[in-house]
Amino acid sequence: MELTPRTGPDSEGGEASSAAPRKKRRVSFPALALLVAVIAIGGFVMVKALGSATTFYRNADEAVAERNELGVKRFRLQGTVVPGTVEQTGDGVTFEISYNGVPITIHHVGDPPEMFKESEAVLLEGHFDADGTNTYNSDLMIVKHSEVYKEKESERIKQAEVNGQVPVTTMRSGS
Amino acid sequence: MTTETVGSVEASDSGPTSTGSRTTMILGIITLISLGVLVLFGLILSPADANQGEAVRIMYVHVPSATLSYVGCFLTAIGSVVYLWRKSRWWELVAYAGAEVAALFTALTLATGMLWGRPTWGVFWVWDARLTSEAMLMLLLLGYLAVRRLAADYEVRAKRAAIVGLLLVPNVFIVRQSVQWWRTLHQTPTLSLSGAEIQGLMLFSLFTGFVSITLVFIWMVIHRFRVAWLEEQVDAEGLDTAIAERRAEGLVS
Repeated sequence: MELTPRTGPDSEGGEASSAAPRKKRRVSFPALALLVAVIAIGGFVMVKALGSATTFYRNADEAVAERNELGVKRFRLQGTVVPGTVEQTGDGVTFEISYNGVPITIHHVGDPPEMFKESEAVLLEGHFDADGTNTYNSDLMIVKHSEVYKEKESERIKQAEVNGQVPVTTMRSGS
Repeated sequence: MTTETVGSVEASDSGPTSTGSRTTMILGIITLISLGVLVLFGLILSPADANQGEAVRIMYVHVPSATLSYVGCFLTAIGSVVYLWRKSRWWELVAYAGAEVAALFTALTLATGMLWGRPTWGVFWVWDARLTSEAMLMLLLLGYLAVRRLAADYEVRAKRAAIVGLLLVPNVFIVRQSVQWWRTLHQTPTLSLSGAEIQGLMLFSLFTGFVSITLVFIWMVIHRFRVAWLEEQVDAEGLDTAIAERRAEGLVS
């Protein structure tokens, strides 16, 4: 609504009252079009983003099943690090992951994240090797962590050290 | 504000006359104390996690922030429904205050989430369904606040904003369910109806996080509502002055 101070006596009361609703209608039209456009773009992005998110990664068994179609195409791969398979290489690390009992050998280039360890799930970005085997070359590793939280063992060790003078029999054992 | 003008505005609406009150001052003090308790348990008394180490402590802020951002979105949706139905200005301002605080808590959720993701996952961000839908929620909240500020009459702005406000509920539902519906990097909820995957002092620290962040949320919503209400009063007063000016002119000519 127009609320600027009155400047001259030429504007009559009757004219002002008829101008107000006309102006209101004119302002709201392009703004409404803008709103519709924003919602449409937002909706489009949402559908696109969530659509691709549904196939965010392939599990190891699915990747092996689709080995021929995947070729050397880049995709995300998920599986659990098989214990005893982790070996350091010159430029990274090599290990095996498995999902539903299907293993894949991974050649990862780069330093693995701090939380990378055996029996934990990892998410990798890369592709199958060009030689046609089930070897996967990765250049990005993300550690998946679970929703389960547990007290760190070292905290209990620290407690035991602090209470070191206390006879072992009376020491509280961690639950 | 003189009593004369207050009387000429809407004396029947018993809204706040100041941004502070005795009750909210006490609430503010309790909130500050609870934040102190959160710092004590979250950073000092609670143990490190077996897998994540010290990084787990971010959870005590991240999870409550996310939950309270959902609460803010629901508040906005409720306020929007009541506004569209009854044209209640009071509820429209509740919706607005809720959206502002929800936007802040969503930003806090995103920021703490990224800070947590880097040491645990190894990355700040991935475009998985949880993170993407949360980013959408942030945009929608900013959209609500922007639409409400577009130059137009109050009724027009409030109506548009209320319609955007209604969209917040499906978006919150998508964020919440994304980890169940799709494959995501983000883990599924630790606290659920079937039980908690967290025990002892860690669970208690999370609980103190919920209590203190909830108090912060309530305090902020009340104050943002009061500011918005008083802004409305000032606008209405300006309108009254403008009308009075025009009437005076009419009398002269």
